[in-house]
Amino acid sequence: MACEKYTDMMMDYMDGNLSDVEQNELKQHMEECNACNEDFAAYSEILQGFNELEIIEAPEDFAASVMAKIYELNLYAPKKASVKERLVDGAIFAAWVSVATVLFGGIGFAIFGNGAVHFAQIQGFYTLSNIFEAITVASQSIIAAIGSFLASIGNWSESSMVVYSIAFFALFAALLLLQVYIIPRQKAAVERNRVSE
Amino acid sequence: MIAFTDKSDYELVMAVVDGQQHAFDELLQRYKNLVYSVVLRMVNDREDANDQAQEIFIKLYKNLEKYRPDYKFSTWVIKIATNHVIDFRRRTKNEVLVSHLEDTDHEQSEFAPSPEEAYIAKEQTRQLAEMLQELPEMYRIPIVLYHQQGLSYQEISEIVNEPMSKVKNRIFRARKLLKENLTMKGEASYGV
Ligand SMILES: [Zn+2]
Repeated sequence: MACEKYTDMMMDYMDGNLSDVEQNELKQHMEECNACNEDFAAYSEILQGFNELEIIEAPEDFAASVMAKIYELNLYAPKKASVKERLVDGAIFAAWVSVATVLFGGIGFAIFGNGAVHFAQIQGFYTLSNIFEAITVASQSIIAAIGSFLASIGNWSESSMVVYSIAFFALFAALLLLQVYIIPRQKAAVERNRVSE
Repeated sequence: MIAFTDKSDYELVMAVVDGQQHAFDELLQRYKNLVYSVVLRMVNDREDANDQAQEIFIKLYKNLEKYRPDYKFSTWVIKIATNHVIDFRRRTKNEVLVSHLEDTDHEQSEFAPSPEEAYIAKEQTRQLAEMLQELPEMYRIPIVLYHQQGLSYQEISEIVNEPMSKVKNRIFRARKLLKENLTMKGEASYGV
């Protein structure tokens, strides 16, 4: 008997790949062939059994015990800032505040205070003629501002005012470098380590 | 706590990776029965299945960043689960053949249409579960993935790292083995 062909059809049927025409052909054969009929019954029962198999539930405490382990592993927790990081952040913030105080306080004093006029005249910051000069003048005005601030709180010689002003510029530049370049790079490195673990 | 129930699997994965650990609980709720069933069908021991299914979820958690949404999440889960079980078997070289599936019936679905239907269904389930355990692993794993989990030949071939033609042949062979087994038990005309 050519039952092998019908076995193949049954396989296709179980795969959901049997056309209506083929299904009819199979049905017709099964009406005449007891062996195939029995086979088909068995296959149907197996498929039925698989459908029933699907419902095995995990033990009740399953999810809870997995979650407990996961909270312990805590791989993706938002990184808490370490004491060191918080100190650095705090120091940078404080530095910005003091620089801003000095700069803006100084500029304010330069504009409204007496010392500024004197110091500005020495530095000659009224001569705006080109961009380069403008930059020079801007820095000079900040120096003047710092100078006037310093002048407002004590008796400073002009040269020491310049030294202090330059020190403030250096601090300002260092802060910029730290915030714009060094800290982001370090954070990226820490992040890379965390991910690759 | 934020409701995660209406989020997609991928959104949940992203949430976990982003530090919202409890989003993983929703993934667990969605896939714990799937993983547990797959593992139980393969290891056939409730305690082993529980341990291994837990390890599989830990593995999933550790690898979440590697998940790409071009796979279905369920396929990815089953892939990791299957490989875990196969590896475990290789490590322990301990093929458990004793059936513990008598216990399984007690935890089947509680909503039974009628006592008689429920009995037949349970009987079939029990029988099939038993017969599955008698199948060699090379047949059991693909047929469970195909008929129980509804994976395609393509997906199974990716999971077990065998060509699709081989997977298909094994599934056909597995069906025939199950059928012969069933016929031998003289139950073939049952419930059809
Ligand atoms: Zn026939």
